[in-house]
Amino acid sequence: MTGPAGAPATDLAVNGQRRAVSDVPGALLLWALRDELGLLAAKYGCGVEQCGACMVLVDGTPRPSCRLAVRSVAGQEVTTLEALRQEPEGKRVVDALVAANAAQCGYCLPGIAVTMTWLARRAPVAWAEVVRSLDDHLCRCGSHPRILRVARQLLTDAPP
Amino acid sequence: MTTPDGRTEDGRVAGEDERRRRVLGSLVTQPDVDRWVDLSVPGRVRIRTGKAELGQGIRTALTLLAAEELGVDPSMVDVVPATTAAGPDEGFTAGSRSVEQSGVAVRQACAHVRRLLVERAAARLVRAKGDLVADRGLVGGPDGPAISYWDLAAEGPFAFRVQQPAPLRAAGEHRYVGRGMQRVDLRAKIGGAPAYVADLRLPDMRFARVVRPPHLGATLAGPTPVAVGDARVVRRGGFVAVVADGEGAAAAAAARLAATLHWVEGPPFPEHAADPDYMAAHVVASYPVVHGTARNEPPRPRPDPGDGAAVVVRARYTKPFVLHGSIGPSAAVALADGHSLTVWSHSQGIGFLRRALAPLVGLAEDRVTVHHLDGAGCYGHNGADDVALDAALVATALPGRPVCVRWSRDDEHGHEPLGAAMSVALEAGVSPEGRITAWCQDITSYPHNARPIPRPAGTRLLAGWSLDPPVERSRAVPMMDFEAGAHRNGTPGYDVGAPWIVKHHVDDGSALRTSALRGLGAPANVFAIESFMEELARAARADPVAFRVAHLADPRSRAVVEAAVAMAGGLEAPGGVDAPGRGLGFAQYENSMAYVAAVVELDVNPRTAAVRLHRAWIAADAGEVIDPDGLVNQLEGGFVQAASWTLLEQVRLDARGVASRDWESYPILRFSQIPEIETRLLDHPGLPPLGAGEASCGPAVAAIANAFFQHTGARVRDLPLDPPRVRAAMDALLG
Ligand code: FES
Ligand code: FES
Repeated sequence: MTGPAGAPATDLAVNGQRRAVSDVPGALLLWALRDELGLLAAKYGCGVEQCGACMVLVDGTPRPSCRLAVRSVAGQEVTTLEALRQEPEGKRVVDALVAANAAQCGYCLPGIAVTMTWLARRAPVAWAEVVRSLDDHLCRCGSHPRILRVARQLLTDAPP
Repeated sequence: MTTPDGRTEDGRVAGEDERRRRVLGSLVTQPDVDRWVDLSVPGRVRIRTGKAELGQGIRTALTLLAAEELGVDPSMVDVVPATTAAGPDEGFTAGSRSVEQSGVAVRQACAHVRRLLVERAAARLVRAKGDLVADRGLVGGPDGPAISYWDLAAEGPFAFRVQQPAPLRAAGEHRYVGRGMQRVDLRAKIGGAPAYVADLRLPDMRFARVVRPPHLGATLAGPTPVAVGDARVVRRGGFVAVVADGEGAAAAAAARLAATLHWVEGPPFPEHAADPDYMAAHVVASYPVVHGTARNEPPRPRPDPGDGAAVVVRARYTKPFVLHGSIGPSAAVALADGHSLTVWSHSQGIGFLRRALAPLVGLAEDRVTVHHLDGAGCYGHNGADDVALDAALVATALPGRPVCVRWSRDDEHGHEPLGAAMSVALEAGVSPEGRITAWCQDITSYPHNARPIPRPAGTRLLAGWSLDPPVERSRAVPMMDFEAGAHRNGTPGYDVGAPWIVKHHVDDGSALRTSALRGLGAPANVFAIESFMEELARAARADPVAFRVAHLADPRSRAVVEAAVAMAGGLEAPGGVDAPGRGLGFAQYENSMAYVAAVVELDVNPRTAAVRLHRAWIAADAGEVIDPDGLVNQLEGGFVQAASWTLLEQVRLDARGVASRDWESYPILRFSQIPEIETRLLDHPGLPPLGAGEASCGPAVAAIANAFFQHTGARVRDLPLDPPRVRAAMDALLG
């Protein structure tokens, strides 16, 4: 399959739509989302799956998108925060984080909101699992205490 | 250090009357109200500020203050991002001074505008000014007609220069101040809407990555290709970048290009630069610190703390290099057309950046415009200014096309200016009555300010040093101002007579670069002073809290210390012999701003030797509280970041430069390591607001070190308190 300029392309299912993205060797999902599809909620933080800023859902499970080859997710459903924030759980998560001013610079938050939405879909979740999942995300501003407070209220019915 | 326009590095004005600064903020240098307040759009109050939103919530604080003084709903206020094209120039957004400078100025400017609106309405309605009030967008009396603010503003500019403060709304009438509100920028940011420099999209935009030398100080040798695949290569001397249609393509091309380039190594990098002996050997100047200010004169003779003392204690404390470590690497967008340059940047000082960029791209300063756009939190001088030059250089080679340049994670870790390593040596005696006899302090530090402020020659922007011909690196010079640089909080806040303090400026002439990181010298000094106060108390067989309080003359200092200890229910954690440890840390930031005391409770995981933080209690007095929620957010965020430095962080160096190039080799605190934090604000309505964004860091570091001592009996004087250090300390204890 080829794209508009004759470059190789792959069909992805992103936020419920089929989208063709170029598939040059080494093409990565994060850049397909940001550069080609204009979906900017997933952020670049480290590029090596260490910070969680680029988190998306792949077939409903959180995955960092910065090292995922475009080719490897063909045929899977990719969901970004742009779609999640329109859905009830995602909206609840974003609203709760916003209401709690649970950020300083906010750069880590879109990725965290993706993970929290995934948890919210299965709530209540054990607190240990919530913390384990959040540990895939780094925040440099020290917004953790507030994010944890929101997570506790939203995701678990058994606070420790 | 003072710049040509009379400002210090963090935007304060040197030598001005302190009282005027406190009541007028940045209006002292930018007195024209029309620069700050713009009522030209009906129904909207547009506020211009020179301060940048760094995640500290300044846009929200300014919204609250403007809404309060003008009597409009906060939803009618727009805080316009800072730009060199319009609005006030407020120097750097740094030193926790956004509210003290911009907040106070906006508040006063709005109070004056309210007064001026009443004057205009009085003339139009032919009524006495005293019969009219300005509120909710209308000026009128209890009866009769009212005129909208925007009708009145349409008469023309106010053309009023503020010299004296106007009366502010009384604290009892406040609708917004002191109550706080939702941060105005967070819905977009948390929800993932475009909000940062690297999210800016302009028509026909290109994306670039720079290929930086693998060794700090290396130079590029040999030719470079004109393109890598579809990506064009831009080269200026030793500066090389690749430009592509997308950021992913640029990153991939940069990796391919890097593999083909040939670099000539510079001199070996000083891998032992954080070693106190290495630092002592590279001291280039020493200055006495008197009343918080460094002086260019020989120090007075060192007193003998043994005079009149029952005990004398000596100790040296050290802190390694640390990273700013923004979660989002530095980015900038630039657009050049041969005659002018426009840059979008998350720099902390857009006016200074403009001045630094202009000569390097061969333009007059007035042909360069810098717009501030938000970035990920920077916590000081990171790569923001450097990447702006990178973008300007690439854009200059592509006239008419906007270019977004972003550093990679590897670039950011490897090339950002580091937070300075420091060593603080203390000596003091305690009299038989339990009083400190004399206090001697040697502060040895790398520079804390390599910001791109104007210098007689050279540049401080990274890429400038590898242009052809290279522009010389302008090295950092010692900061001499009140509470600046290495001597920030280098004067104990305790009653210790006239302390003998000398600061030693280290510069080894190498490729190493250090610059401003949250709190500058304060965290290391507070760590040292607060640890040392406990060492003194112990030597004098005194209770550490009582010993501190006995040396604290200032009631506001005592109040926060006592409040934090009371919140914790004392410094003895329940649990008998296995009880966790508790420790206290206190400082008034810059000995003139917010007062913060923190108590921490922790223990040590016996298997991993990792310190586990359980709880923290913070008490703070920041004068009048404008936005309580924002203040708590800053204090707790500062605590967490400082806890991360204390427990985990140190930059690894090797002969090539920074060896910590990702988050695995440079771990920071994670969610599972965050303690339960409780914060109490001691509000003082009517007193000036005091900057607090950096105020909790020093007390946090000290509280952790003191709690570790209480728990283990081991005094750790070298940071970080990571598992190898913890093990060594415990082993030493067992002899
Ligand atoms: S950018 Fe993907 S995990 Fe950091
Ligand atoms: S809020 Fe800034 S990195 Fe998390």
